Amino acid sequence: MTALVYSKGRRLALGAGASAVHWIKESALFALGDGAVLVATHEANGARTQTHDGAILSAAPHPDGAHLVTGGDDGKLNSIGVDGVVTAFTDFRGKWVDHLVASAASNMVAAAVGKQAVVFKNGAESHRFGAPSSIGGLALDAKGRRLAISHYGGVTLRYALMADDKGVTLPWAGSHLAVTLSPEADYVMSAMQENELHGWRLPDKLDLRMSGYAAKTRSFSWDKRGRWLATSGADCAVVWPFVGKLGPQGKEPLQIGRRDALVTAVAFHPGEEMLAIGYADGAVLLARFSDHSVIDLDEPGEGAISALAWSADGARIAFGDEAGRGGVIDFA
Amino acid sequence: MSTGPIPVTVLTGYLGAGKTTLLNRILSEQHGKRYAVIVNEFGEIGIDNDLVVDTDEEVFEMNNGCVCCTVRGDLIRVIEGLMKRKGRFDAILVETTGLAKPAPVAQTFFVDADVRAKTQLDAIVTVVDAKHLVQSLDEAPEAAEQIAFADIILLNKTDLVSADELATLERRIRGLNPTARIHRTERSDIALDKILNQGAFDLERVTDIDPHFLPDHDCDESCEHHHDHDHDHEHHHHHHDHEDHVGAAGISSVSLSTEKLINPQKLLPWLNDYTQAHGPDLLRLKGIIAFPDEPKRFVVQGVHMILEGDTQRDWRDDEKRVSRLVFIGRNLDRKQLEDAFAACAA
Repeated sequence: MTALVYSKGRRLALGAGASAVHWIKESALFALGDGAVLVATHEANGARTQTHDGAILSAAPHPDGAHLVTGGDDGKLNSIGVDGVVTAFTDFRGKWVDHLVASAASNMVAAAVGKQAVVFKNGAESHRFGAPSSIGGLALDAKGRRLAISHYGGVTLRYALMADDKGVTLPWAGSHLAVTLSPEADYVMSAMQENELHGWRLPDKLDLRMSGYAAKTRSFSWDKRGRWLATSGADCAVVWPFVGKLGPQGKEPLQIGRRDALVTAVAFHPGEEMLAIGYADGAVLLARFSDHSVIDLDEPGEGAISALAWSADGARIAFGDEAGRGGVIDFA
Repeated sequence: MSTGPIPVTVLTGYLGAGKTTLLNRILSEQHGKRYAVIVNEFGEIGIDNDLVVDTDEEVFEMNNGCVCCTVRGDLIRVIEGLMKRKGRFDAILVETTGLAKPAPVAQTFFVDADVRAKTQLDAIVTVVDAKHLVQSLDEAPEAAEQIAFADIILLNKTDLVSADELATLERRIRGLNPTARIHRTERSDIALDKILNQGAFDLERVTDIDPHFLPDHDCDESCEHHHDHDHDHEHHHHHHDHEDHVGAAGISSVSLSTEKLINPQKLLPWLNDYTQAHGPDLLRLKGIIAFPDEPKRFVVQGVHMILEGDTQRDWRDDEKRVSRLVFIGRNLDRKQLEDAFAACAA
């Protein structure tokens, strides 16, 4: 009983598998596989509200800082506040909303719906970017200016707010799934069907390949300064160094928190060089780079960690798994 | 909430064969099961089901140097999404378009580790229009591949053709696929226990790969398994040269059998090499093998380059230890396969 969830946090029964979790103000909002959103603070559970008729597939914090935007397999895009009040954003008429990203800095939301990335400004649809296949993932840089759209055959990079942006094509054969952009938009990394990463350094499009993963990488996290990229998909968090001209090319990654379970989620602390790591067996660890210390946040449970997020101030963390167990910890 | 992998039944069939009628039958019958349905052509399903997912067919090549290794990206994506609703359905039905190639669909369930961990391909069910079979085989290679890949074939619309025509059609189907179970139907009317929960890709449940013969058939190309001696099958093979093994779209089948025990050190490397070399042409492979000093049956199956094998139940005392291998594919060289199989004798 040494895991920190017992002394500084609490467990939550989510009632369904977690698709995502994000902090809105003081509350963690868990987006769930049964279509509900559960609002929870460190102290108590708030509303558990049916937000979609079906599963929530994707979620992102609303640019207004007060709501969570959710996309469902009912084809709806909704917004929910910490009070549990749901507002309809838009309806894609049954088309799944597979991925969502949002930026407060550029006041935009982008939703991946089939082969289209739909961009919203000020809460209204602004324009759409077509992709050559169903979209595998979306990512924004720190300023919310550039949008990476992964698909079969590569990644396309757009200026998110420019409807007529021609885009930069980053081709590489194969199916590209989860994607991430470094904070300064100088690297694009995508997870491929073949359990490897493919990346491009910008603007020269130098190809990068990182292999050796046991599973698809589904979770990426950059540290605040963009010096480290943590990735899931191995039996430890594989953390690539992005320093110097060549980035991770020819360098060994850090391998942190090796256990007898695959890493399924990673999240860097918003300020410090500390990485939270969630595993396929439901365990969650916190690894600090400076002294190589590792703290148990939660023990193994019944399902893989599928949601993991720090609060903006880095004082709290929330996590949820596919079997419906969640946790909230306050480090203060 | 069920904990085991979710069974997946794939419904294929050329345009107008009766797939959607079959799908609607499955969904409307009282069987107590809840199905999630993945379709590539929306709007034809007349049954109210809140778990119908419409998706565009997306065939992805794997970036691993294996030219025949294709998967259906849309299925990977949709199955992953459906799994968020775990507990809300018991099984998945995939209805492909009339022109869909079955190989990428089948391979998805073996190649993608996440799909494989959460689902189990139960069977590929192909609906064939008896009236238009010959025409569709002439028109489209997909029609022949759908038959070649099938575990279960519904020879549908039998009311529209004569008994003689049906016998000829079945023989034509057998030429493409000697191991599938054929059911004659009208308006896709069939007992669901004949098409669901078949475990066709479950090595544990491989019972027999005897070709299923017509009661009134006279010897055809997959006959040699009736005959215990090599000279017999040589004879039959020769005798039936007029009835070419090569069917529509160059697809044919070769069935091999022997009472000699097989040396695993010879068989397994050969099968590996063969499937690597001929993967693109090899559609399906099934086998039950008897090894020396091995009380258990060894079963093997393959889809293109994907090959799986394992020991299974014990050979029964009343069971002849006959080793059988069936190849279905394009450009199969019968003589070469026969010789190579014969060379695997212990």
